[in-house]
Amino acid sequence: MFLYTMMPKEYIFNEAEGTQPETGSYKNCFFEGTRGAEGFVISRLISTNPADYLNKDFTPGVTNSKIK
Amino acid sequence: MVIHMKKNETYAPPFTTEPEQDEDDCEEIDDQQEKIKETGSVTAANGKHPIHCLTVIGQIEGHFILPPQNKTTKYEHVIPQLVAIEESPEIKGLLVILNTVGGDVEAGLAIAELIAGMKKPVVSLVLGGGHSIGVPLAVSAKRSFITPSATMTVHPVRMNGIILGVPQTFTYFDKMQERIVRFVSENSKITQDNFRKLMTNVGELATDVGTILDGQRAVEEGIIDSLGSLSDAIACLYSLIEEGES
Repeated sequence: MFLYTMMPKEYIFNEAEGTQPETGSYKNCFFEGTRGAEGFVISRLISTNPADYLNKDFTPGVTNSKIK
Repeated sequence: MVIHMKKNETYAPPFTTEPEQDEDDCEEIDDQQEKIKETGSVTAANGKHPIHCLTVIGQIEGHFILPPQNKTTKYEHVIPQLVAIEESPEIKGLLVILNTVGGDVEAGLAIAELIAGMKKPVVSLVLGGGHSIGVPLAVSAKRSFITPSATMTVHPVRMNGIILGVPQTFTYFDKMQERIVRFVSENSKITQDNFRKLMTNVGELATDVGTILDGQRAVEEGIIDSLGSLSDAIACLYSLIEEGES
């Protein structure tokens, strides 16, 4: 695996505790977060459309039940 | 704040704003949000031209999933997005915002090659840091900008895993590095020799060889086109869009 990064490999491959975030999608957007009983709790929106970031339903911290 | 008012008295806000305009603005934003909810499609927003923005943050993640403490930009997300942007008749240009520490060589080069191969106007802006594989990504756009406070670290490539101590390993390293050197020199004003010199410079980094370039020096070396920030990058993107339309 060839890396071209200025970060020391101890930082990148540090096996600290933690889990990969779950991913979901809705209306052409990717989301990272966790699935709860009431829906998907958004921690990150991945979209190239700047208008998506103004959508209050896509804001990090929001629970959105439509994200699958 | 509790406001006590007599019956039939109307409340006048303490600031002399234009309430009609504010209501219009609110309605417009609500309309826009409703449209996004309904269609999930691109809206021109209030900008001059409909553009999309790709933010490249943290590590560029390639063939291997990195441990969860890393913030990553994944190529399986970015590549289809770039294809969709190039294909969409509604999107007129792309702004690439970089704040990355580098990452996987092949993933970074794949994204950079795709951006360089786009017909639509693309402008990049380096904020904070555009290190290592972030350099080819920054130069892949038609025009590149860097803020004065941003830095770019140029250094040799590294490999993770078991390495055989044979001359062929070093030849392979050199070939991998040459891919980056060639791409950067073909897409910016720096020569291959000068970029190699920056890569192998000694005396600047404490535990590594290489060079840290601040915004001004990145422009002087010819890697980045101009110093600037968001308004400069958007103005440049709009002018490239208008040139293409005329």
